Amino acid sequence: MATRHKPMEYKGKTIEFPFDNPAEETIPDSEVHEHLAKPTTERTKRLKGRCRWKHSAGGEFVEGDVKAGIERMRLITEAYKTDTGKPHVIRRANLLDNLLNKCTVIVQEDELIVGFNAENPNFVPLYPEQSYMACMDYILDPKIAPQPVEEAKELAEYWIEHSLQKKCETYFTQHEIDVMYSLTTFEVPGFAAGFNSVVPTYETVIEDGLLKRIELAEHHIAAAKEVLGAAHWNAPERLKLLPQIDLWQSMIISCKAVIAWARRHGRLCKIIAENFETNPKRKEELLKMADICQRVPAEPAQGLWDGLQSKWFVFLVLHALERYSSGFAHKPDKLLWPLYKASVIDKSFQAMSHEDAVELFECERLKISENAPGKSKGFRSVFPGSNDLFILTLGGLNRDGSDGCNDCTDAILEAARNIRTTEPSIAFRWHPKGRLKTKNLVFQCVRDGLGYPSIKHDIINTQQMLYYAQFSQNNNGATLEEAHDWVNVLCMSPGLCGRRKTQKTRSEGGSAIFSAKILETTLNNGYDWSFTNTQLGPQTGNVEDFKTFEDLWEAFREQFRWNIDLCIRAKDVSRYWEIRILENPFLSAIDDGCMELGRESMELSEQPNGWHNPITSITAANSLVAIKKLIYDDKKYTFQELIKALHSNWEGYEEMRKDFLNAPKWGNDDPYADEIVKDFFEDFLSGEMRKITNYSGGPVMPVGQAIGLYMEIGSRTGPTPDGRYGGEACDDGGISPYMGTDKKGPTAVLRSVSKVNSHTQKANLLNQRLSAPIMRSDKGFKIWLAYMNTWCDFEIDHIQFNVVSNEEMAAAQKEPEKHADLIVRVAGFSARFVDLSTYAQNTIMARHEQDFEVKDFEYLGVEL
Amino acid sequence: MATCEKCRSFYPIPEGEDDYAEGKGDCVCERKDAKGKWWDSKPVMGEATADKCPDYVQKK
Amino acid sequence: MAAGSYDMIIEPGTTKACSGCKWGNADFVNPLKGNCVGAKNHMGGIWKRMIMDYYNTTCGKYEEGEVNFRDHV
Repeated sequence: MATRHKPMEYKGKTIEFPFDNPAEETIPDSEVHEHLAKPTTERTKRLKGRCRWKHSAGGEFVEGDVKAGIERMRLITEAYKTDTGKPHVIRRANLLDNLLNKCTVIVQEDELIVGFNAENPNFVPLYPEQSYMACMDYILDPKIAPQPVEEAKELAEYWIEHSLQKKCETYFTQHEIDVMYSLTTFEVPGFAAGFNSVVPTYETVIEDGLLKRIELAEHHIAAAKEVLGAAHWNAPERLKLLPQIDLWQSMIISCKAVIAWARRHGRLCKIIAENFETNPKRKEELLKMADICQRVPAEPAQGLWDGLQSKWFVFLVLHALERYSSGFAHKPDKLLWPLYKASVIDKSFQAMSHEDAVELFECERLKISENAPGKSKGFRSVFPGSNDLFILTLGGLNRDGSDGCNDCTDAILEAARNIRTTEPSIAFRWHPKGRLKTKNLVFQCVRDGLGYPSIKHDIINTQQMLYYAQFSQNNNGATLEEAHDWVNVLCMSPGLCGRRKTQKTRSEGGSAIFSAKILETTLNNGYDWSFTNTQLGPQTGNVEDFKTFEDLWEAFREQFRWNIDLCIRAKDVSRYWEIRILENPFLSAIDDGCMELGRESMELSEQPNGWHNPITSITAANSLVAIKKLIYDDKKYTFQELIKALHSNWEGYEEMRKDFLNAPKWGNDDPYADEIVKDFFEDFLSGEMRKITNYSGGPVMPVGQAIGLYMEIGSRTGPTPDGRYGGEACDDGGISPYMGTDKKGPTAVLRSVSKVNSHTQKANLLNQRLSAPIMRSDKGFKIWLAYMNTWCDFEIDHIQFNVVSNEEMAAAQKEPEKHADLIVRVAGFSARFVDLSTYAQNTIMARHEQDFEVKDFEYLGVEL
Repeated sequence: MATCEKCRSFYPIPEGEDDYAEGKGDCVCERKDAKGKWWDSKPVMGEATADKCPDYVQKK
Repeated sequence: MAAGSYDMIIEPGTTKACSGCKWGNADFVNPLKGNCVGAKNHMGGIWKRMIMDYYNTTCGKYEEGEVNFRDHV
């Protein structure tokens, strides 16, 4: 039966916690989540029932029908081979044109938004021009190989010499390549892994339409040719117009290709309506969809259905067809608000009810759930239980400082709550001005265990956009108004959204470095004894010679410096070659900066946004605390003894391990631990990164997070001085206390985290697990709101929640087939619990379920 | 000889369309699997030979 | 090498290579290398080991078959 929270005595009253939904009194704890999905219509219920999920688990696709497609590889290779001699950016445009002109287009039954990224709705496309190793990964696996496989092998091998990977590798020593590819001290560089991100400028397409963009490019070409032909030829001034003309020409080619491809979908809808469909209502729908595809994205969107279809076409091109990019970065409640207003409030175009709008957003969620790229096995492994990273952002403030929440925000949140899918995830920008109605919907999603929205501090992140703006190389960084328009680029890091200045490549910001593994190598003079058995980092001395804690700190700092320098160098080398061989004419066409200045999307950077993700930092930090306490302050152990114990995986050293395990830990408002950890985040992680200047001329700042890498790196890291055994998972996110060690209550965690100055960091992920009986009670929202207001006052960057009982997770481990709708927050993404490995499931279960006590209510000032 | 334009799946692309070319059409097929139905469309030239096409069905 | 021993040895042409072993996975980046998920610590955590030559390395724990995704990291 359901477990109610026990009553509490508070301010002279007995406080009871009945369930907010009385029906839950009779639902056992072990199956709560199976009763929560309420798709808005029969259609979305059907679409969810037949959704072609592309989730992976243990690196393998969960659904057996998923395979790699060959069509994209074939068509881009065909174009590239025949198109020699032209400027490279034109070749890239022609490559897209050939693909969109000849590829298979698909319309599935029942759907309201059309378009897919491969020739079969069960397939994923491949990207041989980015990473040949990621392609080979599919080709060598008969379960998922593209067919015919011999042709696929030939196509992949053609691209080896032309790939980003091959171009970039030549600038590194063999040792550097071995370290980079070992996935030990840092993440494999994007040029080898093929992983990328982008923030599309959807606004120009929704507001202008592509025909207008073509007109702009034609105008620029005409103007440039006039200058070229003007009297008194001046080479230094005018020769630079040549590559600009090439770029504008490539924009025209790519926009025309996208328009024609979208209209092919319209034609298909019409053919289905006239020749296949017998249901009159569906016929009518298909004809409407045909009209929509004819008009958008060629023309500006006029209603909400237009907007969603236009956005979906642009998404497919920029995330899957022109180039692979992870993400779904945009702010739909701002982007689509005028269209929501036209359709739902004014009913002037595509008149619909709010519920119709919710249904459309549910449809979009299901389209995302079916969409996946051909990522390498490595990346499939580190997003267990999901198909890729898709995070949209809501809330915050508008440019004029008014509340950014509106009825469109609510429709998107209701859709998420109702349909219950893991993707897309949602980031909510929390501002004190944000309306309560919307915050309550955020709460409902969190309470229902979706793991999202994750919450970002609006003010801190808006200020950060202004901080980075000062480094703009063309003095055109974010203005005061533009700084309000930001979104999560992927899981955590903010970046501008809008008509220009957005982050266009992961080489600008992204990728990870692993503090715990670097600490392990520091303790072994740069050697990795636990995984590769090779010298990974520089030789920074033997620990027995570190007379003071500062000696250890500085050796660790040098190891970190060596690794982070290599990381950012790899990203900027990649950027150098992306500019030359991975141009994105369509991405450039829809960016106002690229259009105005005639500069390509990879090359132009108006708003620096440099960042890198330290992962496993709390494992490292807790280890430093334990070393300082037990070796340097209490002098209970020597380093020699510690190293022996670690190399034995603590076997024979159980008492010693207990001491290290019980040393002060982060997340308990403990001054001893918190002072060291604060220094680690501010002086060490941030301090070292900010000494670097990246391609865009700005600093690099740390984004503490985890994705699934806290598990993968945990499995590649031996025992650590915080008491961890070899192979155990590391900490599950950014600044989150290590699983199970935050024992002093939810407000103690906030007090610890608030000690790290958020302005020295780009972002830091904070995972918390809150008591399900409290959150599901009729007082849940009040308590959570008070907690969130305190979080906000503390100027903490981020927080996200799991609300799920161990009973339910244990039941799902026993009978996974009965718990398909159980969703958990892993790190910067959510996943279906039953699609996770046992290793991953156990890390979620180990997270301490924070209960609220009277002292917490007093601290938060809650009135109950 | 079987050619695409003789097949029931062949739909000539109307004049005025962005991708119009004389003799060009959409080859539209209905597909089905355990999850449900979909329709796919690929561009073909009407005169292309369809002898080996597994989806070829002569138009009535 | 003792049966059941986890010590990896390079044995060119071995018929019990890591590439055919249940516990072997191709490396994420270079499929000629690999990693072994066979070693679990007593808490159930999987402690991986890198295999430098996936097709010519073996150890005493060689076993045929496939690992269910639940038993991966």
